[in-house]
Amino acid sequence: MGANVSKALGKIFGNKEMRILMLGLDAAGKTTILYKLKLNQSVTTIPTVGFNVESVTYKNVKFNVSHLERYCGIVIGVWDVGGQDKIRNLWRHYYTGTQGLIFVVDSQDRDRIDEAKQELHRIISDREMKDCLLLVFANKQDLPGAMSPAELTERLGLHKMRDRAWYVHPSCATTGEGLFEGLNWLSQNVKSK
Amino acid sequence: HTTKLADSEETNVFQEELELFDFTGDAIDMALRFVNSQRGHHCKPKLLAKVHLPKESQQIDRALEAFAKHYHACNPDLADSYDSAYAMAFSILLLHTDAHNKNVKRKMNRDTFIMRTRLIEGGENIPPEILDIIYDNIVSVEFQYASALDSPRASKGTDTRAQSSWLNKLGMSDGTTNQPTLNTNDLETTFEKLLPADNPYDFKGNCIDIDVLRRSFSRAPSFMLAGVKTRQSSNSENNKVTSDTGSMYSKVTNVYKDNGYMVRVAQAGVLDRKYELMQGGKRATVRGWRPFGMILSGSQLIFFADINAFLDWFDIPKYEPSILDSKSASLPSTPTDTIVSTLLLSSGQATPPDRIPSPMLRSSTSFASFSPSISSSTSSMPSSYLRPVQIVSLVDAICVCDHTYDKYSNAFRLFTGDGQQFIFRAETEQEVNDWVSKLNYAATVKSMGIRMTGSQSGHRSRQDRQEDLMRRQDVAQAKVVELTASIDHLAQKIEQDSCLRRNLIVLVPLCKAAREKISQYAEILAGRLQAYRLRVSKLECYRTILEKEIRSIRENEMIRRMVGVSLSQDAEKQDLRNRMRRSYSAAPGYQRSSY
Repeated sequence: MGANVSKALGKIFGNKEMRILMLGLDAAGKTTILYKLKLNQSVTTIPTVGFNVESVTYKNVKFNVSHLERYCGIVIGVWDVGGQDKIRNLWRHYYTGTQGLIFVVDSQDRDRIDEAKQELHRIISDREMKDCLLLVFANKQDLPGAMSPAELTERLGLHKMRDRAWYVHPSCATTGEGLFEGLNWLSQNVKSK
Repeated sequence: HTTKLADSEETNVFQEELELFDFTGDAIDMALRFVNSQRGHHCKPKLLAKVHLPKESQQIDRALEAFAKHYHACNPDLADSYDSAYAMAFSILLLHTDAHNKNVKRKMNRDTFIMRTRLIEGGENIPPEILDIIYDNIVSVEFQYASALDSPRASKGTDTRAQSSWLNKLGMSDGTTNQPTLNTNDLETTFEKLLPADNPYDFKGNCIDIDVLRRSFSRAPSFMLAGVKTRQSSNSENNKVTSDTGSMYSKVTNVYKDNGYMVRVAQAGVLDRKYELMQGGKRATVRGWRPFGMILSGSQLIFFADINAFLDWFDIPKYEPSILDSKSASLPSTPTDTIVSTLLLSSGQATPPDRIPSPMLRSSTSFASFSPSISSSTSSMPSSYLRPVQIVSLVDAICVCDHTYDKYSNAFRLFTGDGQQFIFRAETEQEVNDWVSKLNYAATVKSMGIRMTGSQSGHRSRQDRQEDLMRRQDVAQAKVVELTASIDHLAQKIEQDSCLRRNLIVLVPLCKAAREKISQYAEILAGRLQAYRLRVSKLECYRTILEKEIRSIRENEMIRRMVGVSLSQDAEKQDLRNRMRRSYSAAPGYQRSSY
């Protein structure tokens, strides 16, 4: 019965499947976010050896009932990719077909904010990422001295970015605050395929 | 920054644990498996904490860095650099994620995997063959965690896998049992035979005495050879230009009308012969062992099936004619006297134009003269009819001892430029060395276009000779440079393939497809490597001979200025006969063969 309902809803709202990459410097909180998003989903006891890849399906998340329909049928494949220069050429292939980029920033880490900026611009300047949405999580907002989303927008040089839809949202991965609002923005702005 | 600190600590632990593994001789995908499952056949599992591959890309990065360093240190000959080990490991882990993580909907295909691996810095040189097999291994069998293997749930998990039982054991086997090796035993034996580690071909470079060789050619005694069809006659028959080399003289129709000619014999003897490959590398139809009379004349190797006639020709007494006759019965019995007399008549001073030796014959006259006008030596000819069955050109040929051929001792191989291949068996090692060095010398001189010294030095002034020698030296020197460039180029290719060979050998197939591919690639590689090695042997042989020649020209010129050494041809001929007698009447070698 439930399956039939979701199928029907899927038809109405369109079966959106988004390919999303989550990137950011190490220790920005990507993994925590990834698994927070899977909150109520069953956790694999013997996870696959290798990189984190999760698909997050929102219809199962008892987060906000009113949002349930809106998220219906959206499956997000999140690849946790990153690493050295050596594999840059390789990652470009993972960029292909990406509709949304979640860039996670440690709001407290002022020392590395320039590094984060460089990384972000390097990624989105790639031809394959030309049309993708940019969601920045200003993460670790709970920590003292965290930069505000406005400051981060400034420090990341997002103001100059005119030909792209971007959005900075504050978040706290450990509690899960702000995460679904961010995804909400993604799902609303994604061009249906 | 607490997370970062924890990360680097974890990495350090990982690195320390990694040191406890000995990856020597392990394929890289197996080594990764071992790290993860802590089940390597070299490791001491009890010493290991529960450290396994991390899951976040940055941590993976650091872990794989450490892994690649250690793997490269253990196997410098398998991974040519740390970078390539890293590229390989990283790509393997990506593939593994892709293949076994159910969240990945669209799976990577084989070509993508190979292409992506080679995109990573350091991955450009990883042989696609290895990647192809590793793809099968990774996709067919998932990595397992050590903890998973220990827990009861895991055994349930492996049961459901229900593939061939030894695959499960691969993960489950304890550190001492060498499960994978047991299963690849037959592959290993194939490899040993198919893919020898070193070049098996030996052109006997240290047996080359350049002065002796040159003398054996420049002072080769002349013998009269009858009944060879010239090109002119074959042209008149079918208007088709026949190949210069290896023509079979099976038709006897024109023999009577044909020219006889003189051959200068640099080496002669009876050897057991096996015809392996015909022109163009086709398998010979008759491949049994059979003795042949052989003479090396100029750049041609001439075979005679009628051994009695052959020995007669050299004035060596026959033996066991009853046995030999049965074999030579198929040959036409020709009134030899008439033939020889015709030949003698035709070899007068006034040689008509159509009697000029055919191009085929002339092609080898660079140092051995076939001119019938040398009537002085004709007088000493034993009058006997002898018909060659096969003539093989030594252009671009190479003669080697093959270390992988251990069926008979004193055997050597001859590879001709047109793809023919022979195996010969001699009586003694001395004989082998003699043949090998002379055949190679003839091949070098012919292929490199270097004229023999002393072949036409007779009527020249000292000045001319001097200039000629200098010119010859320069030409030879240029050829040496050319050869060296080709050898270096080949050496690179061989090194590449040797690397592929080493990697192929250590691979453990985890599924049938991988196993079949390994054998398949091994065969292709074996053929290619063999061709490269043979080619490099040839070029090295030519170069060695040229270098010795250059050195010798310089030295000999010094000596020759002071002493005019000149041995008569007759003395040389007698010498050759004596040698033949010694080796063939003392030891009736060819009787051994299956007659």
